Amino acid sequence: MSVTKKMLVAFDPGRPDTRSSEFLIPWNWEGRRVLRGLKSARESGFGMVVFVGRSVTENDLFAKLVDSGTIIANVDDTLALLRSFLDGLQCWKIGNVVQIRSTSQNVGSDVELELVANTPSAVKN
Amino acid sequence: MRDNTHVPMRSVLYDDLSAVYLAASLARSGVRSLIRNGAPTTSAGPKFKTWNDFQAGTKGQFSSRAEAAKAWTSYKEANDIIIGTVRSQAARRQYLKSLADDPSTPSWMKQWLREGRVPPGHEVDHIRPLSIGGPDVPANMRLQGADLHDIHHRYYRPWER
Repeated sequence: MSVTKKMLVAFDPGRPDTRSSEFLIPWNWEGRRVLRGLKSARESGFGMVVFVGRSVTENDLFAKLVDSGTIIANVDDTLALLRSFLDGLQCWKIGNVVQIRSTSQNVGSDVELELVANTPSAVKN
Repeated sequence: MRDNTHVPMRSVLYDDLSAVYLAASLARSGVRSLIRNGAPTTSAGPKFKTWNDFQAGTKGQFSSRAEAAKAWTSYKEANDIIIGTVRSQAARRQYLKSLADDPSTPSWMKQWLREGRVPPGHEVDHIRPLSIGGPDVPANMRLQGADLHDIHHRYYRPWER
């Protein structure tokens, strides 16, 4: 089980001062990997790494996903995707702005995040 | 009158380099409550507390019952849902042995009761069910016919509430 105290929240480069409190998770959407809101299912291009103050596991994220009414085609794959995402988050620092790398190779359960900027204010439109 | 359905989702405004700010804010409220803010339910606690509720509430979300069962395992773990209760066999035996000494107990039952065993066709029922906090002690036990016990709990199912 992957445990982290970091999560991604939606980040809008056009309005770097305003941030949603909604957490982002990776999701497969029409053959590509995107970041989507955990509750609203809204797609987000960028995510900012934040510290959440308590340990979050893939089960916690999965439970919220179930509560939001999302259709889950394969439970094991979804858990593996979330696990990989939480593992990947360990590499990033609080305040980093990242985006998901969507290539044809990462359709499995591996999630690759890439750095956009070290701090929110360094993001250019 | 205010229409609650159009209240925008809570968002948090932060000033520059606000990661630390956000961290403090999240730590105060706890991530669990933050996640809950936008969840369909506003109640504190998991949306589903039993397997039956889970199945009924997630109809169409999973491709099969087996997938739903896997999801339930993960859901239970995330929400610290504990199902089932450990019953004390010693307390049960003690209760059954005490019945053997009771003059109103039918004599045919006593051969089993003396050994702390349940007479055929009977079961030990908890008067106040364990699932709603009843104690697992002899004082909360009674011997019931298996048929009656079955009918009783076909309708009285406090663990599903």
